[in-house]
Amino acid sequence: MEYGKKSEKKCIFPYPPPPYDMYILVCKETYYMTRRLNTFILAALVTAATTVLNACYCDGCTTDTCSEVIHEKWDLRDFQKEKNFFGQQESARYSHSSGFEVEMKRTTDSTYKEKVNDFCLESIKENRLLRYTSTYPIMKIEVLLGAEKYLSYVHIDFADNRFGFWTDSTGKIEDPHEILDTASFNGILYDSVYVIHGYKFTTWEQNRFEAEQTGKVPYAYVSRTKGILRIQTSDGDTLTLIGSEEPHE
Amino acid sequence: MNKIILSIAGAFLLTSCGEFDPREEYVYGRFNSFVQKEQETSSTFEMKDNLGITDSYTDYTYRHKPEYYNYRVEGTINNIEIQVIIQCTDDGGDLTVYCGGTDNAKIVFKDLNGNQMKHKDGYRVKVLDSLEINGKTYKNILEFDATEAENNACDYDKAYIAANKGLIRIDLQDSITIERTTKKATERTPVD
Repeated sequence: MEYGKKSEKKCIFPYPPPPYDMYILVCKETYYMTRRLNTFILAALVTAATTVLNACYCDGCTTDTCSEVIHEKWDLRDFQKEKNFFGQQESARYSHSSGFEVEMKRTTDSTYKEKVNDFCLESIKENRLLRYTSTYPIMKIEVLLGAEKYLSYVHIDFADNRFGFWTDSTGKIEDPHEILDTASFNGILYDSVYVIHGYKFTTWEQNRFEAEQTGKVPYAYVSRTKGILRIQTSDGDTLTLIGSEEPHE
Repeated sequence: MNKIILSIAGAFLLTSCGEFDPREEYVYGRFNSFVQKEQETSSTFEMKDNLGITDSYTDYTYRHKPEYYNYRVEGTINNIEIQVIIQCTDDGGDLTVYCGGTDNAKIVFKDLNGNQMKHKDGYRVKVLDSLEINGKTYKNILEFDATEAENNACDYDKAYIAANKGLIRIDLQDSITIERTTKKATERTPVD
C-alpha cells in the first residue's frame, strides 16, 4: 500500500462490533497508523543495531559473561548497631522555626537484609532504619544506616529533604562539607559539629525519587555524640534540638 | 497489520470502561460531582489549626470528565498525605483513599451509589452539599470519616475535600482541626 492512499481492504470486526468511534479508529485511520507503525519499527531496528554495535566496539562496554559470581555479605558496623546511634536519644525535644516544640520519639528501630545483584557480584547488605515521630504536628525523621564493602552510609530524611554521608568503619564522617569547631543551638554550645548538605526530592507530581538540586540548599547539623542538632530544610524551616545537660562533649 | 491494531484496540476496550460519552453517567450517585471537569492543576495553599500553627499544603488534581478524578495533597510541616481516586467501573465506579503516612493504607469503596458508602472495615465516605470554613462556603464536599474504623490506619480522623477546591479541613486526635484559610492559593497548570 502506498502512503497517502486509503486501504481498499475491508475492515473485519470481531462480533459484537465495536462502537462507532472505534470504527473510525480502526478503518478510516488504519493507513495512517500503518505508516506510524512502520516508522516505529524502522526506528526500533536502528536502535537495536546501534545497541549491538556499541556492545561490540565501544570502549568500556563489555559482552563478557560472568564466569564466576562473587558472593559477599556486608554487615552493619558496630557503631551502626549502637542503640542511640550518634548519641541520638530515644526521645528528644526540638523547636520548630514556626514557633512550636515537638517531642521526637523513636517509634521504629528495625534491621533488615537487602539483596543486591551487580553483574558478577551478589551481595547481601544489612540495613537499619530508625524512625522518630512526633504526635502533633505529625513530623518524621528517618535515619537509614547501611553497610557497603569499605564504607558505611547514613541517610537522614526529613520533610522531603535528604542528607546523606559516608563514614569509615568507626563512624568518622568522610569528607564532610564542613566541620564547625563549635556551634550553638538553643543556647547550648556543641563541639565538632558536622554540616551536611542535602537536597530536596522533587514534588510527587513529577518524580518523587529523582533528586533535584534546588536553589536553597538544606543543611543538617550533626554531632557524633549528640545526634541531630538541627535540620534546615530547603524551604527555610528549621528543627533545632533543645539540649538540656552536658553542653560540652 | 490490521490484526495487530485490532488486538491493541481490543485490549484497550477490555482494560477500560470503553468509549466515553460526556452525556452519560459513569460514576454513580453524588460522587459524580467530582468527575464533571477536565482539569490538571497543582496549587499551594495555607491551612491553620486551632492551636495557631500555620502550614503550607501542596495539591495536585487530575480529572477527566465524566469518569476519572485523582486528587493528592500533602502538608509541609505536617507529614499528612491524602490521595483520593475515583474511577469508573461497570458498577458505578470505585473510590480509593490512600491514607499516606508510613503504611499508606489503601481503602477502596466499590460500586458507588447514593451519597454515602461504608467500607467493611468501618471507614465511611459521604458527599455533603456544602460546608462553611472560615466564612467561605464550599459545595460538594467529600467527607472521609475514619472515626468508626476498627483500626484506623490513617493519621487523621476525618478529611474534607471540596470538588472544585480540594482539601478544606482535617480533623485529628479528637481535638485538632486544621482548616483552609482564605489566603489565595498559588495555582499553576503543569505543562508537558
